[in-house]
Amino acid sequence: MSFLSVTRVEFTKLLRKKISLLLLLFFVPAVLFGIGMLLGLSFFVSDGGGGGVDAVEKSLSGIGFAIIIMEQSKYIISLVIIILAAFTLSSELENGQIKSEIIRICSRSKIVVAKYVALSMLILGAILLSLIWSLLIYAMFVSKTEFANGLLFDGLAQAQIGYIVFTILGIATELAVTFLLGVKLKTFPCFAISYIVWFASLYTDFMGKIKLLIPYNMPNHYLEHTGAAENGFAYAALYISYSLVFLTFSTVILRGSEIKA
Amino acid sequence: MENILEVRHLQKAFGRHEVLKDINFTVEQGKIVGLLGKNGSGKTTLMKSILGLLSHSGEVYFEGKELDVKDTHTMNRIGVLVDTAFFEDMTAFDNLEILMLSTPHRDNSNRKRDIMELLKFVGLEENARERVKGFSFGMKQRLALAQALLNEPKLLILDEPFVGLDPLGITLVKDKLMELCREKQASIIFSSHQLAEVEELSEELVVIEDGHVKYFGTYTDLARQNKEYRIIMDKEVSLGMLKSLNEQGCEVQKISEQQIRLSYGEKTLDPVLFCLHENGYTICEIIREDRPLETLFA
Repeated sequence: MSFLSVTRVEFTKLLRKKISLLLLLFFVPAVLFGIGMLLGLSFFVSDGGGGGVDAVEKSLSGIGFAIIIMEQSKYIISLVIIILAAFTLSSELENGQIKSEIIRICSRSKIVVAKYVALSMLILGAILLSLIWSLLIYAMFVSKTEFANGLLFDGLAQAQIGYIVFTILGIATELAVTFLLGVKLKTFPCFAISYIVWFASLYTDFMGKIKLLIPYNMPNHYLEHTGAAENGFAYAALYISYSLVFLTFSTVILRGSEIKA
Repeated sequence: MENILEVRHLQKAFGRHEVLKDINFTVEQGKIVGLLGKNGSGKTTLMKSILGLLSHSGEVYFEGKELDVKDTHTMNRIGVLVDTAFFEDMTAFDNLEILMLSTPHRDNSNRKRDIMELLKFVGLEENARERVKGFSFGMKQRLALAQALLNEPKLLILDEPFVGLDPLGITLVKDKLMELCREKQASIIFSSHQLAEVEELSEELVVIEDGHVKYFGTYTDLARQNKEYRIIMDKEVSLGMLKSLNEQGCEVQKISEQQIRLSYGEKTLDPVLFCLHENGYTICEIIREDRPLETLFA
């Protein structure tokens, strides 16, 4: 059975699992912030001091709003994707659904990689749709407020696209870490440890430039330096290699594991 | 007849605990083999080892060739019901469809029709669009059987296929399995604690005890070896008499003052009867009470 066919089956399975509905949470913050800004609620708008959408004067573009929403909802996004990753591999190993696949498809590596690719595609799709959704919310609610400049894009396009790309690469790493933990751990410990690792990595500012070795620090750093401060391609390659290494370890460990469930 | 499955010197240990020490048996084409053993004797471990889900030593042959668990062609000719788990928030139809899509070398062009036929075969066609979460244990067992039959297997490996089924369900599954053997020449190896079903279905038995095969052979042979009699006598049976019968090689149990139950593996009862006569007992009645399978768990 080709890798593509296995990936297609995994994707179909993800679409039919109820837990995938958690991805709809990606769309909620934009609505809350959009309506909040339209109504001028102070909780949703900050003057640059943090805690809300940085919307000083008439400077907020559509893509700027979408990125701020992404930044504000990163805790939800990470929570959802780690839950999904834990349920995609660890839960199937724990409960035994993976047995039928292993007996039929035979290649454990193919199964793990197909699960990873299918889940990545689903999450990527949800993130891209949520970005479009944020742009729609911006057009409907935010663009008419005093904070918006009414433009879809502004002069920070490179940094903003970089932010999105590095966020996605960070998510890919998170997925790979959760898969690696999921090969040996049960669903809840796998989810909990993966989330703690991700959460702890957010507090590595004190590490200076070394912090950029952790993919979750890069999106903001890139945005702050307006996309010109670092060698983006080198870091992107580094983060991709993390995912590949974690995924390789996952497949190697699973190949040698006994399926007891 | 050709052996479809052959297990040679299979051993499996979890840490220092040896579950299977030396398992040897064969399954002929078109035959149904019952796998028996007490709880924890290693029946499920044996099945999982055969399927490559657990590492083990020893050899497993399928249709004369060493079973390669990485060969999709071979593995998809084996139907499996071993601790089957479902995606509970999906429907019965979805569960089968996902499995069908992940079955290599299968023509899925008519999969909707095939799935409905399978569900009809196991009596679940009316529950096709219901979530598995709401299924009873018996319904899940039937769905698991449908999964096992999905690819018209040549060999079925079934772990406790009758557990949780009502009498009607047991009859249905039994009939389906016999039909498969008769019409498709499929072979079946199944474990069960329901001895009546094992007795009715199996042509051969594999009994596992202490990691070894305690008995492997036909049910008829087993019945011949494990005859049991109730003997009613004219007077109370003394302890000395019981001891004498024990010395004759009988397993004997006093069930009332004048009745004993006696298990004796030899061809004739002559030595036993002679011993009773010699001790002054008159035999009023001998009743044959064959319970061959129960004796294996004594």
